[in-house]
Amino acid sequence: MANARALLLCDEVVSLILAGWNASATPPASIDGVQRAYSPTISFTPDSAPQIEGRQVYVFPMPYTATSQTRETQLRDYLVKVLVVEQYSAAEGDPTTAWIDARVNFCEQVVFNPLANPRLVIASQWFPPLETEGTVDVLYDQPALQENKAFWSVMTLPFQEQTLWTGEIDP
Amino acid sequence: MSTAAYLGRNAKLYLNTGSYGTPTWLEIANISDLTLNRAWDESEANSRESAMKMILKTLLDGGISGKMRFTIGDSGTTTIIDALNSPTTTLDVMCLNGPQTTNGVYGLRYPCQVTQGNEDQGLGVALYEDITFKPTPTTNPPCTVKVSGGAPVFTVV
Repeated sequence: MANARALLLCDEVVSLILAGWNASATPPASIDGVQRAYSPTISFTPDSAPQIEGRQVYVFPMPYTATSQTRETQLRDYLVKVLVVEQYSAAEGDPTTAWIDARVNFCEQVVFNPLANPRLVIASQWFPPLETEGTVDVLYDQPALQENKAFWSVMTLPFQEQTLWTGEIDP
Repeated sequence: MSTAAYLGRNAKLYLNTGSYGTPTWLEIANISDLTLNRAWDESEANSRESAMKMILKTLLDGGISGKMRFTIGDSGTTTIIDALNSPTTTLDVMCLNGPQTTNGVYGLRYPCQVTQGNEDQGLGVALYEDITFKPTPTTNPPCTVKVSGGAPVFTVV
């Protein structure tokens, strides 16, 4: 059971991505998924491990910091890393430009834009800080595309929350 | 004797929500930085009796200034900002360098007016009020405070 604030934040991010994806023009198929993860096994070949199927979105908790804000509260800074990975499933040929475009669109419109929006408030508690921007660390990974016909994109999203010095939610 | 450093984050700003004679001290905890000034004006008191420059203390500047995080609905915050906006409201504050029950803690207590409340509304900042309290004349005089016997002891300045 996840009780740590960093994990609860990731679970909320998973829910937000899933809700946005479901509401999009191309909702997830049954083989697609969004999940919180630490070290998922991602295989692009059938001989090493179960080969990845569909579009998988992994949400990773990252190190966080606490800074005293007042005589009773802290400001906690969290980072959440999101990995979007999908292997081109056509039997022959390379991934088409349209196929890659659709994944880049997904990363921007379903993941990055909603989660980097400074007006976002998650569970009445977490919010993207204005002074620290979200980043797209890897828009697409060219070696992954060429060697494995796989789309691979990584984003880092910062969030803040105000807590008491004990780490409890400020009522 | 403890030689441990005493930290600014343990200092306290209290607002009296009771009467002056029977105070009820509400801690204003949404404070980050705060400065309690204690600077005496000086008058020259030189004479032929000595080559040393001499002074006499005259008036004490005991203003309090600091940063209070704006917190909607917090009673202390609301009272202070209402006082800032009012041309006449007087508050009774006590600023100590520790809890009001810890013997040896020092500070000042006085009726005051809130004379400044500058607020930086920049895009990347949490909202803080740069507030300043200054003593104001009432029938209750400003006091120095020393906590003794587990309670503040007031001495008129």
